[in-house]
Amino acid sequence: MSGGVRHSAQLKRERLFAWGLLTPCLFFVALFAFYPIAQSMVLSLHRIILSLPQLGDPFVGLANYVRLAQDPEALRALVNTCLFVLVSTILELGLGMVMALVMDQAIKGRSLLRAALLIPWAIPTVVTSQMWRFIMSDNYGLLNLALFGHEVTAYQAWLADPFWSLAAVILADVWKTSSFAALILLAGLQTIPEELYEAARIDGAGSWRRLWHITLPALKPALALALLFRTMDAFRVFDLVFVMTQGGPGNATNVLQFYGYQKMFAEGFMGYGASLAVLVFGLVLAASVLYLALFRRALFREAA
Amino acid sequence: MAELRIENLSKSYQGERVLEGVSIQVPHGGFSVILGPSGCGKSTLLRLVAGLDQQDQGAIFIDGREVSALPPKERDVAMVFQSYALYPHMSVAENLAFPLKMRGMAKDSISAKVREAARLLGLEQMLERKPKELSGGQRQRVAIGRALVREPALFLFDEPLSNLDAQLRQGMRVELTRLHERLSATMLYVTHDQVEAMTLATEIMVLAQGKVQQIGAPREIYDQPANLFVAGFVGSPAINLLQGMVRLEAEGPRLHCPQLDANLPLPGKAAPLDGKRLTVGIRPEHLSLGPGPLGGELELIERIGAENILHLRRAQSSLRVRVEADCQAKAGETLTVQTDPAAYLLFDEEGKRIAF
Amino acid sequence: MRTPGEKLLFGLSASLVVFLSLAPFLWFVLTSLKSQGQVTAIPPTLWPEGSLHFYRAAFSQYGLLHFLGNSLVVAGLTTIITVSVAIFAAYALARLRLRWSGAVLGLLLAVGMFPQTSLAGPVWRILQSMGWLNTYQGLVLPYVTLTLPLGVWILTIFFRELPRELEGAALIDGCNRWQVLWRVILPLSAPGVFTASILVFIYAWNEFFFALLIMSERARQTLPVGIALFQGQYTMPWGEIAAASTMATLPLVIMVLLFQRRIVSGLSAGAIKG
Repeated sequence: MSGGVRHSAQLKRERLFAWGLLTPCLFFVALFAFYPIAQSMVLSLHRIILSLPQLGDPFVGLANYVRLAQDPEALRALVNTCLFVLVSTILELGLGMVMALVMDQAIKGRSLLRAALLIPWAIPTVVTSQMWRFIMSDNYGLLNLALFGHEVTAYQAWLADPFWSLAAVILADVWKTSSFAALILLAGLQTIPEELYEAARIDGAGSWRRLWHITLPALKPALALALLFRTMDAFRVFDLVFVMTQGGPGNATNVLQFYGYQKMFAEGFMGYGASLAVLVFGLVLAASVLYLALFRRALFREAA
Repeated sequence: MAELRIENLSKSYQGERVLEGVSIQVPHGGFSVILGPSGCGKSTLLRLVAGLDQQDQGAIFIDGREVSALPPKERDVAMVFQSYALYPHMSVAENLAFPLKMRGMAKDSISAKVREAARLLGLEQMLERKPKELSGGQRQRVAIGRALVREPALFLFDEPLSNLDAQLRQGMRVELTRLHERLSATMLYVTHDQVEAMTLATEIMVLAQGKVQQIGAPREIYDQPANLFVAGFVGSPAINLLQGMVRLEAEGPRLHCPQLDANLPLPGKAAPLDGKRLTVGIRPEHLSLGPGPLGGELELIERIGAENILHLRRAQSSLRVRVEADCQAKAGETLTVQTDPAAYLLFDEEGKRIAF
Repeated sequence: MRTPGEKLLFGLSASLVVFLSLAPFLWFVLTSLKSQGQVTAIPPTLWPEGSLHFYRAAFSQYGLLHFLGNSLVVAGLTTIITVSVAIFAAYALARLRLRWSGAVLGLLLAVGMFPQTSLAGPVWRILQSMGWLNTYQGLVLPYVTLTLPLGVWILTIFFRELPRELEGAALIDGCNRWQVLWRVILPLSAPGVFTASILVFIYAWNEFFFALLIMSERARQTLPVGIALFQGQYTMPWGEIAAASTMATLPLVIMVLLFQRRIVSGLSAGAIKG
């Protein structure tokens, strides 16, 4: 009969139009994102040495991965990366939360506060890295000046110490990113209607109670999302390590993406480097799946 | 101007049936109002007629031409939205000119038509302004003007007055009626406000839960509602509904109504309904104070200026009675109420009106 | 309401937050204004003499200007292309009836999380085979891909908030779907486009990994690469690095100060409304 079959022509045209609009976007993503990811996996199954093109690119199956599992530097990089992710994420979200709560109370100077928080985020990571490298400098750095004043003999070479160099990288990242986390959380805080707090105050709830029962639950979606993004980003740390420590001293601050870069480009072992790349990809994928499973309700509550 | 014919229209959204077998007709130059509560499907119906959505079943004919599968711009309809939907980045003049521009009309003809519409709606002073600089009522008029300039076969109105305050609404109602007379246009109007429906329509279609409940002239809808829903929805204050069982007694049939603790005498023609369950509807204006079968304790007096509405309570229910403004009754008094049996509306168990 | 004690506490905390956020960078900026002697002094001095020596050196000896130029071209081109592509994609996802819109959005989000190393090798090979290493387009095209998720996300949320009935009115007034987009939606998309542009520009300006990989020749290197690879003849030229860093960050700081509301709303759009 009429209607049922015919109307789909209009819907079809609309769908076609929509796909047409999406095509340029999908083209970019297919060519420069999906194809490379797939290709990385393919490359990881070959042996490719850029400086020796005459050897060809033979297929070696999982040889690269076997080598990866036995590579102490890779293991160190993995440990460092996981440590970095864990510590920096916890610190950033914790500090960010505190900063957001403080800023939420501010009545005057909101713009100044916001601008102050945005600047660490806006600064190129490379600049942040150089900056902290300079601050940590043994002879010329601000940290030594602040800690030891003019007692030059007490000055530490922070970045030459395995523990402190990793701490320094984490510190630099926390400085840059906690303010970003604070901004996201602050925006979330500001969507909580004032009336909720007022009603709670009338009901006799003190500051801590209000925080626990109103603020934190309302922030769950924002927190979950901030956590997700931050963790994904933390796994991909590169700029800080490249500029501040180049992975050193020794392997103390080597991280997966830096090691992968070294192998793939600095040393030209593209096949092996690709296996590292696949490892990082796998880790990020696993982490995001884990997050989605854990926080599905929190993340999608907004949609409902 | 054209006639609109809708045959057996059905639409579901995500498994839920929004419209069911709706068939209506609007004659040349008619002003038909689709009246119904929120969620009854009236806006969906309008969108289907406009072509903004596609029906699952059924057909739509405008001026004898089937438009069921055509996109909106080929249906020769114009629509006035509840939120006006004026283009914020264009001036009033540009908003009015837009539909004509899209149809490729010559510049001179466009400006002539725009000026004409502006004159008709009192917008001449505002042609260069942007929508955000206008008041609600002015924006509404621009929206109407944008529909006017196209001289379409059919005008569609989606609750256009809901966002205006009460006084403006009244003024706009008068303007719309005048406009309709002036243009002899065919108009399909959707609203939940029964006052709007009663004053504007040449014909009302009451819609509830996706189904047509009754189609008729305003007077007919009011005096001869087809079912309980229509009776209860149309008329303010709401009709009094007395549920009970018919008992044939010596003096004639009576309605035994426990909720009001009343034994209401029914007209003789109700005798055959002995033993049946019945609902009797009595409009507040057909009740008056005085000795009679109904009554109760005066709980509340609504003073609405020219008259008062008395709310009387007895047993588990209350009665609404319309009286004059200078009525001296006081709250707490127990009063008796007279009725006019000729004005009773009788509804059977399923809610359908029993016509005699 | 708020006791004076609490007020003081919050005031101090807020001031501390501001100080800690800005102090490190301020130190760097102050360093750039010091004289050569001050920078290499041990122990380090706090206040600069107010010399522009390092800036002049950065420009004349280290070619800061040409790094700036490259960054401007790359970030600018990326912004223009990404936002243009993103507008169309976002409109399709936000407004048109597509069964797969959720999946596409999710897919884009996933792309935004791909590790750079996983993309770098093959992307490098693609560009090499096309002879596009060390060219502007060689960097811009991957950048567009990297920033599309951000741009589409922001614009989709923006389009979702435009009143639905506008499109209905336009369709009834005689527009086809393309005209609705062109004549009604695009003119109204300025705020969203603006926000997206700022965020895309900042991202492209700051990106390091791909810039390092694809621009191996100095001629086309962008600021982050220039700053990261800053080498002196004998020692680290901290003064020049500080000066170059300040110059690299200045445009962004100005953007932040001017557009902070937009930036924050754009960034938090995902968290709050997404």
